[in-house]
Amino acid sequence: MKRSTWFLVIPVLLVLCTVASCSRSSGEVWDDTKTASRYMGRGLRSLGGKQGESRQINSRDDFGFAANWNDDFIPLDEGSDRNKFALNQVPQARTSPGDPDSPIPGIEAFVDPATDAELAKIFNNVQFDLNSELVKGDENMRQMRRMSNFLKKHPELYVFIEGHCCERGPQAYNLALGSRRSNSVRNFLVKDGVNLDNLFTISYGKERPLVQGAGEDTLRVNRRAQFKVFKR
Amino acid sequence: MRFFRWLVCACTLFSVGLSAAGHRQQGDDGAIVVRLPTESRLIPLYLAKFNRTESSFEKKHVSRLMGVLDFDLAHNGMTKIVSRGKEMEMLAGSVTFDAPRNVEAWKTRNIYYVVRGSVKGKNLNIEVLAVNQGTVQAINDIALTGDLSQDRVTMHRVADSIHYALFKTPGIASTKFLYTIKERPGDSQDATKWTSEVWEADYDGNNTRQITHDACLCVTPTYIPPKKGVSSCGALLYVSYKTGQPKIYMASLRDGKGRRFSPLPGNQLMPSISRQRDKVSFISDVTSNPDVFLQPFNPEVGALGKPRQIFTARYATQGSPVFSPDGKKVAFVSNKDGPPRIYIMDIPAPGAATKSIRPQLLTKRNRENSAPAWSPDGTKVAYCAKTGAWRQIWIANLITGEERQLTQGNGNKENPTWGPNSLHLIFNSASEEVSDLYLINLNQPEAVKISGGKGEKRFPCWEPVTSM
Repeated sequence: MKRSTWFLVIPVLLVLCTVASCSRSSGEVWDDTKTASRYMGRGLRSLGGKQGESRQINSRDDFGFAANWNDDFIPLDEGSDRNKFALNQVPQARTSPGDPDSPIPGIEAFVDPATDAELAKIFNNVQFDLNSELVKGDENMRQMRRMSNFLKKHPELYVFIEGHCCERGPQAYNLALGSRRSNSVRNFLVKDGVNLDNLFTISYGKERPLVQGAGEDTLRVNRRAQFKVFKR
Repeated sequence: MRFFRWLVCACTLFSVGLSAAGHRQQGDDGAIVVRLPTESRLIPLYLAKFNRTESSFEKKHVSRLMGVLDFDLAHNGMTKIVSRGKEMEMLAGSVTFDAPRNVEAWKTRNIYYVVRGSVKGKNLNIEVLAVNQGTVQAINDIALTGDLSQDRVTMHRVADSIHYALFKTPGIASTKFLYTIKERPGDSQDATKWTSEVWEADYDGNNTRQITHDACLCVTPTYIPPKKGVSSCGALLYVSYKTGQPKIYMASLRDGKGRRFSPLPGNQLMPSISRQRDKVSFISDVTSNPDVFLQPFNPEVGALGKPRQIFTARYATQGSPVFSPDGKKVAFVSNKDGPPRIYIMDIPAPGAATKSIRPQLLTKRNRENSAPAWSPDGTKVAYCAKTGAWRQIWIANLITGEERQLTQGNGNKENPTWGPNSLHLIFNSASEEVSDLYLINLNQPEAVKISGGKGEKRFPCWEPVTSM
């Protein structure tokens, strides 16, 4: 192609790109960049053998429990994806606290671990990034290991894992996001060997902020998993 | 020189592109403002003062009832109330207000309908003059009790009768809606002490009454539609945290005592019931992921058989499923492709292959969309979307594919619910620690606040009515 043609093509391409990105806010462009990098990151990590929440499995025998959904509900058929995703499918406890046939009482019998000196050191809040349910960061991981080790030694303890969101998100959607956060913590603990029947999830969405206000520090503190404990 | 000419061309194209890209207007607070067409579709109506010379009731009571009718006629989405004036009061008060010369006088003032009432003893009589036709319709001997709450209901019926007489379609003034009020006992800052109960109110926010008394968090109530031939709803589904985990309960509107809807383990959230009353969709994390489920249902018996999973997306959050009016599709929120968006899918068969389910993206315009509400006529989906600094209510037209912003201004507006006429909506708007309910319709761009008092009012759900 002649040099003169390039001098025409390049500016046209520049204009097209500019129009496309100028019609969106900087926040939207940043959002898309993060989304793309999230998926790229997963791909790159898997090439290096680090798959974050998931790992390569070959059959359902590769993990400790076999979820049999047919007792509770009719699942969709995930076909060949079933093994890929099975590691994230940690069944809920067989009975819910406070149910008529449950040996575990309802929430009114569970206490804030901060009221007990020993429990207060173990059950600190786990924090989350905006719009995320991933448990990450050194402090969070230390917290998770502490809880896991403690719960494995104390099978008489039952824990409500509450998933909370900050004020930024919509009310209804946050009820579901809170569920993702509490299950993210629960899945980690169960996969680490804690009895799944000792752990229950509650999603509070943004209904129960720890601190009120709109500042970034406040929002960050409210994006959390928090715990209530019952000793049988 | 030749290079210089090319450089000038490139710079010109660049600057044209920049100016073409910036279409959005920004309000003073940074919010995006969408200018709607200014021509009003509302028909001018004159509401004369009630004649109460022979009334058994005090002036204050009659004024209040007039106020109810005034509100109903001003917010029905069809008429606008013309301001009162001395001359028009004289015209309206004339014995022969439908005489040809008086009709001409109304025409010159561009008034299409005149409504006047008189209270004689304990009865109200209403006359409606259709100016263009020169005809009068009368509703006589409407019994009043003197009790404001009962007489409000009567006035709403009058408004609906007038609406039907003028437009041959049912009005919405006699309908009700459910909502929740979240309260902080003693203004406590400790959120663990906050409670939220389900309430019901007339569509204008009055005649409120508490339905649930769970003394805990109750959210997302929804009516169970009435049977064919029955005009009003008798029961509801709602989510309560009374045992700890959020579970769906079914309760009668009469006593509000909930009984468990499903024994499914884990969290159950955001129930929605089909117009046919035969299935309930909801969100459950029984698989440790919040997915969309469907439960066959009979309102007299409850849940039938096992629920079935109808949508899942790993590493994604799903929420707010709602049925299409024909019960064959579901709209729901998912962040499977990035920020939360609204999708529509056909309800899959039990045990369908995940790969065969192809939800269609509905909301292409905005990010962070949530709380879809399908209009009863099936042509629109209302939802909330992050628009600049605030959440606003948007309407997606399913026929044209157009998405348009309905609300403007400060406050996060969420949880829209349609009136049975597919014209009106109620939503909640919140800023800081205040949340109130607002009424709006597609023909009148200004929303009007319909709630007051303490507590955060949220999650409205408008009564589905079989007659519309």
